[in-house]
Amino acid sequence: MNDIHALSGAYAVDALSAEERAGFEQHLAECPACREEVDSLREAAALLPAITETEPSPGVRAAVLAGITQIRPLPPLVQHGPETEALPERAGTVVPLRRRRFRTALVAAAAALIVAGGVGVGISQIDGDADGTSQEADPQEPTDEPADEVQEVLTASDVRIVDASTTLPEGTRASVHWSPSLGKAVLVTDGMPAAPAGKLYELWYQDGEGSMVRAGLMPEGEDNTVLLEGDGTGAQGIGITVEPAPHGSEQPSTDPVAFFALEDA
Amino acid sequence: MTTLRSVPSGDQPEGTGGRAPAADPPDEAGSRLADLLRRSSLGDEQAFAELYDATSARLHGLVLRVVRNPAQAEEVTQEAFLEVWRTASRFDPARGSALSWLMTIGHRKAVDRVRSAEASSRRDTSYQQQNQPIDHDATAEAAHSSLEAQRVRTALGALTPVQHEAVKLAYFGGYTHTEVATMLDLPVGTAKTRIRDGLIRLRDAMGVGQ
Repeated sequence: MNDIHALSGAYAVDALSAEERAGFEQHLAECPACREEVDSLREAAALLPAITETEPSPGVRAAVLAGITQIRPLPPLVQHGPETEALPERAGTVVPLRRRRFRTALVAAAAALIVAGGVGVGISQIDGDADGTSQEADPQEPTDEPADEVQEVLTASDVRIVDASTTLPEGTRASVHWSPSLGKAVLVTDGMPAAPAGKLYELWYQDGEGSMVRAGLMPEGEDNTVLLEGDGTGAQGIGITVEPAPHGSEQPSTDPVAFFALEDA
Repeated sequence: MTTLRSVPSGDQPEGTGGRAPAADPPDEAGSRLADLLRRSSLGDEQAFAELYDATSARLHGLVLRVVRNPAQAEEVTQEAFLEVWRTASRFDPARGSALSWLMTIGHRKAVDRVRSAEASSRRDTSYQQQNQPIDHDATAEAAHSSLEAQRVRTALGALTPVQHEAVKLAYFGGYTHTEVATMLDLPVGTAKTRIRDGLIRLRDAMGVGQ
């Protein structure tokens, strides 16, 4: 038993393997002393970056502040009370008080539920258990709500934010939020100049063979958040080209004005 | 078309200044951060921008130190701040400071990044950068001479050399305790104790987390 307590320091600085981490989090649920110790050691570790301070480039600030406008803050975890158990099906064996302690594991679980609820899949599955199948319960059927799909990508646990490798004009910000597990990407632009008259911006996935596959047209406007069309599973990159309005092209007819390399796809 | 082709220089001006996180006395600064975080959880973008300005150098410096590759580090910093925004309501002031909560998120993201890069591809171009010999941070540390940084260095000086190395390899190197044991030639299972003892000593020297 002493042995597992001794992992508190390594846990506080993320120095456990994934298996050890999961095991220790189980232990934390039962060990108030370890919870307190982990909190206090994290407090100590958090002082260390005082010696490594480095300003990120201004572009990071712009991207973060553009990004948050697309992300809904999570609600607080509902305080436990005798008759207000938030997620009885999932939490039946967990003492509510402990839920607040299980920060990483349960926040992730709650986030997953909320995200799933947003696309009308997770919740209808839960409803289905209790009430029979509801109309929109088929989880295979893509929903017809791009806004929710955008949210799903932006909040995916594996989402990566990729900036364009081609430099866009000054004042323009374009980044791709890419979820390899969903095979979906969202392009966020900020201050993008209008395409020339009679032209528009077309989006492309570069597939595993390097071919460019149509992924939709970008709406007009400087600031856009666009879910790319089609299946991006295995994509190597995403490009934006200028094509003839109003329908774009079947294949890119110009060099990309921006390209996003999805290295770890 | 022409506007799109005009490519500005890659150099960007330095930050707008006035973002020093340690400008206020620690307690005051700490409660200000907690307040900004609380307002962020209510969707206050202005408060979040202030939070970013007050903490981004701290968080990014940590991420950069772990990840090493500057472009990847900026991605991770960006992801971490979006996570902070999304999960701000989960910050519990009873359990610790806002700064510590932010650093925990940034550190976890940075460590996840280097470990998944190692696991997924040994051919990744960033691999070499991530695996450069642990060339210790004399230069990086020398560059930071704020009062708080000096206090931290003094407190680190109170650790035994092995504790000091173990804490730094785990925290700034992003290595697991078993990797740290191998790197420092310690018996398996000892590094975790060194890390814990070192953090306890640091905590007590700095008078935090009580």
